[in-house]
Amino acid sequence: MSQSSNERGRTERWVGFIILLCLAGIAAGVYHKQFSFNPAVLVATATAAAPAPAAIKPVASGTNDSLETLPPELSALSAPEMFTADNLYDKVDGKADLYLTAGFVGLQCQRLALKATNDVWMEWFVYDMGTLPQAFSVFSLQRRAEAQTMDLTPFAYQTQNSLYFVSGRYYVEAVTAMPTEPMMAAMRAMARQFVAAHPPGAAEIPELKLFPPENLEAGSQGLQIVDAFGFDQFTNVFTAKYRVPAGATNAEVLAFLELTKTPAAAAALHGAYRSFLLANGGKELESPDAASMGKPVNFMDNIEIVFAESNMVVGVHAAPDAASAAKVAQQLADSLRKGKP
Amino acid sequence: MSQANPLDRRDFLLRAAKAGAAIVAAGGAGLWLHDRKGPSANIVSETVSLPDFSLPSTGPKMSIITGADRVKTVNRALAALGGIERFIKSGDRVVLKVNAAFASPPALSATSHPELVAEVTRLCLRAGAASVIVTDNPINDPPSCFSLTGIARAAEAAGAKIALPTPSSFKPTTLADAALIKDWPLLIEPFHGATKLIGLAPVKNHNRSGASMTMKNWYGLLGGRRNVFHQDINTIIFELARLVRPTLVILDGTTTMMTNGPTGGSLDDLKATNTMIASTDAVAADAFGATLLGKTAASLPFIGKAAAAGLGTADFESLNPVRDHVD
Repeated sequence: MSQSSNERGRTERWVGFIILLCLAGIAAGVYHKQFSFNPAVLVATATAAAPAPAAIKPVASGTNDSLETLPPELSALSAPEMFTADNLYDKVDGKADLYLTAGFVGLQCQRLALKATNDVWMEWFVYDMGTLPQAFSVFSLQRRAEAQTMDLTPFAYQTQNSLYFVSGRYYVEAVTAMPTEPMMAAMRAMARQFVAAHPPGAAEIPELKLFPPENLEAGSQGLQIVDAFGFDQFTNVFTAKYRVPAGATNAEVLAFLELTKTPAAAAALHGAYRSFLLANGGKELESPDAASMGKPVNFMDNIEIVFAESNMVVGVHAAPDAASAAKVAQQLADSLRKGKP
Repeated sequence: MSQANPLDRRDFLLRAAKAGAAIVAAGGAGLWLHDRKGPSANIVSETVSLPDFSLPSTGPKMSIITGADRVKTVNRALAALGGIERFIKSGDRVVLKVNAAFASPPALSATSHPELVAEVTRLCLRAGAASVIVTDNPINDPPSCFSLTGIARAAEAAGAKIALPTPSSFKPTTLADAALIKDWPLLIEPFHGATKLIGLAPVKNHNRSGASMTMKNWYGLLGGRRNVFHQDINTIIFELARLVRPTLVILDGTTTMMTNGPTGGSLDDLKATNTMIASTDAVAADAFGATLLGKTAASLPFIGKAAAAGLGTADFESLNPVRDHVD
């Protein structure tokens, strides 16, 4: 090769290097810009025809045909409305995330009135959550403290002006601001008709049976599908409240468990949660039960216990004291180890 | 290796013609695909902003009145601040920003109570206001919301006009140094000619922000697909508090939605907390409102952000609020 070829090769390398630097600079600029996006542009480019939510009409039939077969005492007061994951916000605003993160498929709702007095009305909501556990999750997360259990499905209750139940993949709410006895009776009749028209199939959730019944608070079981206890690796965490005699009062302790695919996965998840607690200010405490259930963790003046049991991560969350926490954790561990909850 | 054949005249002309055709084709395609206007993304260059409706002369003030009767407590709360006349003068054009988010009856306390809206309307008109406009951009269908909440009937009976939002009611706004409010549609039409702004909000639990009170109430001035802001709810509430500077806020804690907000549904979600708050400092009002929910101001990040930015104080006691009770 001649000297001029060498010089040309060096020049080409430098030019190539400068071009690569420019490309890297552009990539860095794009990377940086994505963290300061303009929401207006994002939304406007996604849907050019959405200037205001007021302009977005839910899908409606335009007639007062009802979503379901109505009991004789009820008539449709408004057209049925239907919402998908894209516009659920237009109906329930800030509560939409609760449904969306639990597997929401669709919502149908309608206002219904008593035929006898058209000004006494209720609103009927049917949330299609895709599966029974997902429907149970949103049911359990909104359960009212003073609820009265209903003999309708395994997961059903009523309050003084409304009723809530799970039937298969559906979570249903009926709400009235005028809870007259005729209206409440009509709501119950509507609910029974719905369950008959949409048979729930397998109505039980096996994981709930893993919680031992002693001191279990009736109707307290729940399912948190995402970010349980603020820990993003916890998904599908089943919970149950226990009342533990402690002095003159009863301490309330929340027990939990999550099933994983393998014991190794359970051990890893347990370790990750313990690390999460410690990284956020938790302090491990000494305990005689540490060998079987790990050391309790004092976390923000509450007690956490977490351990792996076979392919499950098990524990108690935010217990008011160490003794109550240990008692419930031991009860749950014994039950799981015996295999006879 | 054999030496390459020298290029003859014919080959040269052929290759030059092909190269020229390729250049013309590429240039033509570029010209054809060129968008002279660029990606405007519906962003209109004309932007708007809300005037500052606050009254510097009044300074930060607050009253906390207990009692079950909204009409009595709001009258006492305003009297404790020097009377409505201190805020509303003859000829003022007043906007009442209510919470009419849901097509929900007043008994469920998901929206501003019609009795309160009506009484504040009457007080403003009695103080000499030339007009009172009641507005909100609800989550649900606006006519249904204003009708079923009872707000429309009560406000109109008291002498107010209802301003229902339409697509033309919105103009884009940009808040300086904001992360979220950029070229965003703002409900501006009801504010044309307005001289005073009063926010009327109920105290509610909120699934995303922890609480919905006076600062969250300004969310109802946003248009567009505002639900994208739920991913950063504390920042949007803080930015709204920067964007909207009201004359006065009234926080209705007569009935508080303790759980399952912002929609509620069951009467079991509600608690009679029998408190009415009036304040020129929305941060202080919300900080007190947090206590009605069994929370602290520190547990609600949007209050901390607003206080840190100097929009008000989270230490509401520092305002020496006037406290009283009316039967």
